[in-house]
Amino acid sequence: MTTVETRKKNLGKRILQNKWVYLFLLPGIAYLILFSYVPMYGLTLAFKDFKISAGIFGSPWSDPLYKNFAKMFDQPDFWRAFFNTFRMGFWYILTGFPMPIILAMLLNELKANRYKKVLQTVYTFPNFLSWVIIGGLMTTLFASDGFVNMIIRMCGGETYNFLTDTDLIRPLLYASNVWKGAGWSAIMYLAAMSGISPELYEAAEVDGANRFHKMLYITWPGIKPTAVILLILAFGGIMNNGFDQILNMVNPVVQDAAENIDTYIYRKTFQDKPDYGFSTAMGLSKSVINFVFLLAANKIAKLLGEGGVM
Amino acid sequence: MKKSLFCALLAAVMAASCLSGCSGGGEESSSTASSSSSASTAESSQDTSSDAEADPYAEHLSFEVFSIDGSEEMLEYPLVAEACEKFNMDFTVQLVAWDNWDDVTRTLAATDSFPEVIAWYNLNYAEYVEWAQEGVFKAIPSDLSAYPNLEELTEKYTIFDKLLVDGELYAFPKIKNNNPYNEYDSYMFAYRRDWANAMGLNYEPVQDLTWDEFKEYLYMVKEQDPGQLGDRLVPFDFENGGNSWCGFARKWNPYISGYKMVDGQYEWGAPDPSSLEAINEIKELYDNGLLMTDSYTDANNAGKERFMAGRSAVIYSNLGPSILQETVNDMVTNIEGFEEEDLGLFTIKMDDGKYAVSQMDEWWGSFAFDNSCRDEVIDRWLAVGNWLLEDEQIEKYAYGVEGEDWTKDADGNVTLNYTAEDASAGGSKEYITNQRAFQKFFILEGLDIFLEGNPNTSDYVINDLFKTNMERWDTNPNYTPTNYDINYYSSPEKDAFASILSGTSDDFIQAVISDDPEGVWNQFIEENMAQAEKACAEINEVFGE
Amino acid sequence: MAQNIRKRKKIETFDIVNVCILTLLMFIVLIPFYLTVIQSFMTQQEYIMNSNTLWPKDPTLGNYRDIFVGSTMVRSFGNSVFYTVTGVIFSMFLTTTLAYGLSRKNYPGRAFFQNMVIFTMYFSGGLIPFFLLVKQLGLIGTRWSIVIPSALSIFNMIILRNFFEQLPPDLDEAATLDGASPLRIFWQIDLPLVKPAIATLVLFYAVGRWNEWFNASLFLGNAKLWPMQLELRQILWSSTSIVGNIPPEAGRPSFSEGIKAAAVMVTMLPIMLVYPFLQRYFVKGVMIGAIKS
Repeated sequence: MTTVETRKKNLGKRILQNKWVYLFLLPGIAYLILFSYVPMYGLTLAFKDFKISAGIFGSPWSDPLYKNFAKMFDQPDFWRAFFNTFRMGFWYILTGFPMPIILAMLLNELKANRYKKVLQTVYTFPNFLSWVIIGGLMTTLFASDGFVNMIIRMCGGETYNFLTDTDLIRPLLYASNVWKGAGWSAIMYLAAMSGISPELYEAAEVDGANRFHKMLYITWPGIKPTAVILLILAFGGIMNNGFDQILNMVNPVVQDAAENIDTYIYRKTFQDKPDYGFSTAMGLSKSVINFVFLLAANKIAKLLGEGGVM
Repeated sequence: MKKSLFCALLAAVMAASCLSGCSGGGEESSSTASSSSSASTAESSQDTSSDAEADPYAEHLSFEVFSIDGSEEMLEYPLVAEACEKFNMDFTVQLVAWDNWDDVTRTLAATDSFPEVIAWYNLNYAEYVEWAQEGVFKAIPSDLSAYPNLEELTEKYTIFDKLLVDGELYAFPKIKNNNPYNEYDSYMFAYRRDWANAMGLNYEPVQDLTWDEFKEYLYMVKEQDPGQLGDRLVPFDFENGGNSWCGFARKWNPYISGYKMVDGQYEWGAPDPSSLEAINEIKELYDNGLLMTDSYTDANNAGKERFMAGRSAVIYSNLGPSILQETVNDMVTNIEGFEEEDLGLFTIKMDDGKYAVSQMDEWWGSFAFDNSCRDEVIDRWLAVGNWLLEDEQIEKYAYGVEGEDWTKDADGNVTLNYTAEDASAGGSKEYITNQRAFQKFFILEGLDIFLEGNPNTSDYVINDLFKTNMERWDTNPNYTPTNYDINYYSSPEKDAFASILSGTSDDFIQAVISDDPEGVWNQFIEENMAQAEKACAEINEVFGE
Repeated sequence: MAQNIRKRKKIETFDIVNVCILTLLMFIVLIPFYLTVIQSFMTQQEYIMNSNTLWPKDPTLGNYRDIFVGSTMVRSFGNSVFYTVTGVIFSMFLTTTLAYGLSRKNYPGRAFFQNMVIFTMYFSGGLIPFFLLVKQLGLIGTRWSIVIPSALSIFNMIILRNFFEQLPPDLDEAATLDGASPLRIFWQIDLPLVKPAIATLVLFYAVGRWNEWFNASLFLGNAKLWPMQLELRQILWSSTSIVGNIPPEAGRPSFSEGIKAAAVMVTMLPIMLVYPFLQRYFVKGVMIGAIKS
């Protein structure tokens, strides 16, 4: 009895003590309630047959309730696309996650300050190219009369048809993803590095630490919290990789080799009239899977003694 | 000091966001407010109804038009200004970006947010029917006798009957290519006549060839390279490269991505052996280097662009009269020394000795009225459409203001007082091009091409090429009509099969490229046969005999 | 002295390799990018007839002219500047306050708020309810429909929260003992310490806002209010005849690949001009100075 009462009392006291924290939370939370939570009734569409005249609330529940979800599994080859999404998702993380860190570390070690700034700027350029443009560049570079083949021929080699090679398309997707995004993502790590005190480096030098020691024992711990967060978030987006990229970069010959669930469903249903129930069910399923991955990654990070996102 | 500045900033942002909330229904946003404002103007129309009989346009009408064409400057263009004055109205364009029309139109439909007039909407038929049944639109009056030019269109084109939903027309289709020769789909073969001449072939502007003669011609081009292009040469190209191959295969199997009637029952068309024949024919061309190697990556009419830049000897492409004229004009500008007569057409007899042609898709887009649309607006809009289809108005949008921009002599020959550059974007007569968008609210194109004495079209292109080609096809066609009944029939399994049908092209390409075309193609057939049978069962229930 | 000499020796071995690697990476980045740049100066004729070229024989500004023809581009550029500036201010206000609030420890409901925020990252009601909400707020057709909705990126917020969490707690404690109010601690002590992160987020938000077109296409029927990105897309579309068999409009630019490339340059340039100013916040030692004072 008494413990509950004191706890209650404590709670009230603690809330009062922290009242300014709630003041900080107020705008953001209010914004999210209005723009994220209020429209969330739309999720019921996953279990409904949408009728325009009835609106979301008035539309009838689908029969059976899981009908929209069942439509997903009805697609032939659904599971192949489903597992392919994970396979490609892991590769996207495996290639896309470490590169910005390495890039930022190398940039950080660069002594020439002006050159460093130039490089930093140049590395962000590809981020401004849309996938449509990069898709066009792919052809310019790898077509049978493209740049790469021109160089191969100049070196006395035979023209190779890169664009029809089904084993090459996935590595090309991962590589172009790194090419486009690494320089941009490195900015976050560079920001984290600029928070590291130079005194730490100076002290380490006095202790006779070499460059690799400093990178390993000062720079890396300085950016590790950011890296962990980004890795967790990357796992939380495992289902969302590359829709736009794949649509713009694959051609009909290799498209089956680089199919994830988004592109698959897009191809199977884009001629249908829009089915809001189905697309909501699709989105919801993906979100749940993503969310589970996020929670798992978060849990693992915590078990390893790192900070998490929640 | 800093803190106060920050707070002031925050306050400003918050105040601004509040203000915007209030001003939402105000002058800046008329898009969604239209339905409410329309109600108030509707009341006033009651009072003037007695005058309306004397002057049908006595009451001034303002409304909004949802469109993919047009701009806010549009009302200043002479033809549009004239229409607004004559019909005592004005309108604002709610422009939908090309890039995202699908999402936007669907969202507006699903949230009942269209303005009164919708000058364009998605062409997905199943969706149109659903929207019509769900009450998104107000039906178009069934009696169009007050608008004879529009009524004439409804009688001339079969599509109008096919779009009836429960006996009512909810969208007025925009006819794609209104001209005297629009029976046949205008996918034609265009060739470089200058190259044929250079090889010593004295070909006609519209040369008749058999399929085998045509192939021989391609081999000859490859061998002799009359344009001296070396490895840049593409003997035969398609509008969209490899992505057009499957469409071309309809010369052998017209039903390759559709349904075919066999003994009173509809079947999936792709399994027919003629598909493989088409694959093998195209594969022969591909393997012998007569087609562009990587053209399966083409998009956005890259193949057509190659032809227009002078890389290809022959193109198979949509060459309706206005596009053909445009193509010739571009090539004359692009390619050094190229003249109008250097372009010719092939009419090609397939192995049965006939020209394989199919029916023209008659329409693209349409105009419709939102369920909130006032009857007066519907009437006014139809009256404008009717007026625009009169010859006098067709001349105005084709040439500009009579007397100022152009004059007509006694023989009916038109002289323009401006250059093509003046009429292009950024030029001083820009409105002549831009006001065409106004016409496009009602009909897509083609009205002016066959105007007598039109200085924008050349006699060679329109008569010697286009007309001759169409008339030759007419002598011995193997004609495949469009089956609107099936195309526009919507049922669950059939709708689910629609994407497989449109994906035929991808598997077709894979088969052509592959070393085992038959294997690849048969695998495609096998994988999708079950779904095809389900779709056909639904179709045959309604249309089977 | 001895130390300096030793230091220099190390520079020679490691830095040469490092510079080589980074320079090589620069070329890998630059070569395809360069191809896009020269594409923007090519005519269609040259692009098709002579695609493997490293310098256009006859450079043209035609693609850029096609973008800037008429007044729409200047107008939409102004719109984009407005959306970016107001949008970034609004986004940064929401992001910093929320991130700071969530980074505090030991207040009741912390876990609840954390989870509630993360949840919105994954679950949303979809386009229709979102559109209806914006419509009911009366924002449709106004500039604020671009600034206010979709202003808070949870991803960015988490990054910033993480920076706040890493600040040494004794800093706040010391300041509290000195009698500083929480708002003052936030504004004068904590916020300056995460300047690099703030600069990063300003950049991220600015680029996001600058490239935004989807909401604009949904909410703005009046082309006068369109941002540059939507206008560019419109120009691109009218330069191709992609959709079905729509006839190309007479007098419209026709080299879509070149216009696409030119559009990239036009989009990039303003952001690239701002970037160097933000870069100075990534300099080492921001923290130390702040702590000392």
